[in-house]
Amino acid sequence: MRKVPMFCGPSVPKRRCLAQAPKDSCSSKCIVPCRQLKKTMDVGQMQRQWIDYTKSLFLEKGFLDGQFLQLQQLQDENNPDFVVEVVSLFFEDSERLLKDLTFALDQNGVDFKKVDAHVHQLKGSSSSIGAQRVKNACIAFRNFCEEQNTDACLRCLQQVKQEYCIVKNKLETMFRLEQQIVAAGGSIPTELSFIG
Amino acid sequence: MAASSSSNWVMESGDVPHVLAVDDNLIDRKLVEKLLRNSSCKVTTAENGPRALELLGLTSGGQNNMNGRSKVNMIITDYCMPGMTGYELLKKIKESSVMKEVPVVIMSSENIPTRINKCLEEGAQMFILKPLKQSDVRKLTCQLMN
Repeated sequence: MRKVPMFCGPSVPKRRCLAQAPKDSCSSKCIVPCRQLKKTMDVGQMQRQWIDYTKSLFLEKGFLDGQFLQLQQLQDENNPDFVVEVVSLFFEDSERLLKDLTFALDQNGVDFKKVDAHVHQLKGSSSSIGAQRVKNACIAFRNFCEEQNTDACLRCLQQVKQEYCIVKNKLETMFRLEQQIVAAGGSIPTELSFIG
Repeated sequence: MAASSSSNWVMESGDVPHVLAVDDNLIDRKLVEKLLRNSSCKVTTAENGPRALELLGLTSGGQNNMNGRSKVNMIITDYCMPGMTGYELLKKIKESSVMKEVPVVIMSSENIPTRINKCLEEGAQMFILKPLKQSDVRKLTCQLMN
């Protein structure tokens, strides 16, 4: 990710600004209005970037579903970090469960009830935060637990781990974009009407 | 009005409802707590049935008095919990002369009609499918305040 551009002003030596795109570079004679305008453009660009990114998470391949929107709507001035807090809990909880699942499936006599219990937990929390693909992978996993099929369960575990890693990266990227917007003085768009 | 078990849950106007939320899943506990707080409820959470019973003053050996038990206006519990299920918790609450009038809501991620009927027959106020949404909780708290 590019860093937030530096302000350009009379005190800055003659050089190109660190701009988001080459066409945004100012001449050395930057004046305050330019700086303000530049700041607004950058925030606007970042906000558009955030919208495009969020949109892709929902519409392309369905990494997130409507439940994630519910979480975002719960965030307010009293709980400005609610989404990050809940998602962080989800990361911690999931990593613990994935570790437990790996261990349980590695045993000589696999305890499928235990495996199923762990998957049930992971299915629940992924569903609650809107991590749709993780949830779906867990549903498939539970079917094989019922069949007591170790090989299939191991494949499912791989699948769940993969989906988890992907959604974790996506969410962390989204949070980074949000931090950048806020650091530049902007606010996170609340209009996500593109979601059906 | 004579003191009766029903006075445990009838709220006076201006009172904030106190809800006990029971769920073994940490993320779900946090979510239900926020949803309830957003609907102006005071919330206590418990991670399992036995802990919930303790908070309600219903542990075995406990007397039928209200010492140390804060008035709870509603209980919302997950169905699938290790040890004591939400259904078993519901039964224990309904068996108690002190708490049986308190509305109990069951949540589950699984839409199983026999499960739902079983809970409703045992006296559950409502059965809600997870994941919970703000509209679900609003519906509940509206009922509670009427």
